[in-house]
Amino acid sequence: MQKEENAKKEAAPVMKRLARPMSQEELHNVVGATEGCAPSYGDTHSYRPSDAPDYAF
Amino acid sequence: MEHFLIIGERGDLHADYVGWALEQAGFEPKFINSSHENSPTSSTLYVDDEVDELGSEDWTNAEAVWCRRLPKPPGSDKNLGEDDGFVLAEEYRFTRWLVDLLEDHPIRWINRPSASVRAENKFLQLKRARAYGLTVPRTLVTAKPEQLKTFLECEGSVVAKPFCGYTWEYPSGEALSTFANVIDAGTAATLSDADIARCVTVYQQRIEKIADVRMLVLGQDLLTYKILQDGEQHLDYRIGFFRERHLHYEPMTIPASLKTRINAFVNSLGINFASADFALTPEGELVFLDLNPNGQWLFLERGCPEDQVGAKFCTFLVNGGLDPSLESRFPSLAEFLESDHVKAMEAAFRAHAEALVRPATNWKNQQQA
Repeated sequence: MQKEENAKKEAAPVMKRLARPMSQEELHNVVGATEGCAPSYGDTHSYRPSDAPDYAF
Repeated sequence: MEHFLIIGERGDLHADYVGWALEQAGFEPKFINSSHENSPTSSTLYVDDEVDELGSEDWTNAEAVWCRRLPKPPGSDKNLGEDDGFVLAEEYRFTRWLVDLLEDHPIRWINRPSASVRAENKFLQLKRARAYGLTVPRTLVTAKPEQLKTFLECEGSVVAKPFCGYTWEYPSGEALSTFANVIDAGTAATLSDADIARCVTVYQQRIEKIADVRMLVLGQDLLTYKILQDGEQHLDYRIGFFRERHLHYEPMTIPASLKTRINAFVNSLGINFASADFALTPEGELVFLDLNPNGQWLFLERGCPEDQVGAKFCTFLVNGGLDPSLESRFPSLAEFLESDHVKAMEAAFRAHAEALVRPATNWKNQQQA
């Protein structure tokens, strides 16, 4: 059923289908906390450089 | 005074802690980034037939360089002045090109930028890890539905993960973030062929694990920690990262023969620092998942403060290797977080955040007003 519903929608990347809803707080703290974060900011969206920096781990 | 370069930004916890700890220990850190405050705009370059002064003397005299983060391209700030966008873009290139030149100098690096960028390549990592005798998961990278279906039939269930984390943020405030996920028959049934074909994705053998393992590579030294979850077990432990008392960290030792293989593997990538991730199987085997040449590591000090991971890293930066007699010179992360420096930075962050929500005052708006 879900597959049929998804098939009716515009195709989305598998990783988006499996993505986890995040609250703003989780987003602020968790994403990028423990992963690598590429040396080139342009390669990652997990750091949100446009936002105010903070001391998230 | 010995000085050390940090390619990175104030405001990044890791860079800021290390810079502060070096100062406390009597060393002089110098930050390099592409902002006005710390960019090398005081450097003047000159070259002719006889003179070659294309470089910053201040940089080349440093004892060592830590490339924490390459300068980021300037973003679009609504409060930029009329000329600021141009100036920041030019400064960004100026700094990046000087950093590139610095690679040619006989200076000790914690990851040369070029090597670091290359070592990020997860395909290269898997090939090299396998070549050096590490166990890696069976891995399929595809956007072809039939390929995934066949892989899934063979494996029963697989792990899907992106090449790099990504977050969809919507104006409503809702957000979706990628994490490593299990795809079993039930999940697969929700995916259309068009979904699978929409984007190439990494699919891997699902390793039965009793713990995740984060390993810090500091030259030839390896600091290895089990990461254990209390209660709900997430395939991707980061999901529970900020849940109170959910994650526990335990230092572990690894066999000498495995250490030798990991050292050879990391050396082959041309880097001397990395955060590597493994899955620990019930049989005690470490299965290599991936590594990040500039991964995070201070959370390990928070989990195991007695291990002084931060001081160890500082020692590695100033000494080129671990030296227990030096570690006591560097204050801990806990001391840093209690410092006046952090209080001042937090005040600056708040001011910055407040500025972001104020109405734009850029030059275009002023002209229109």
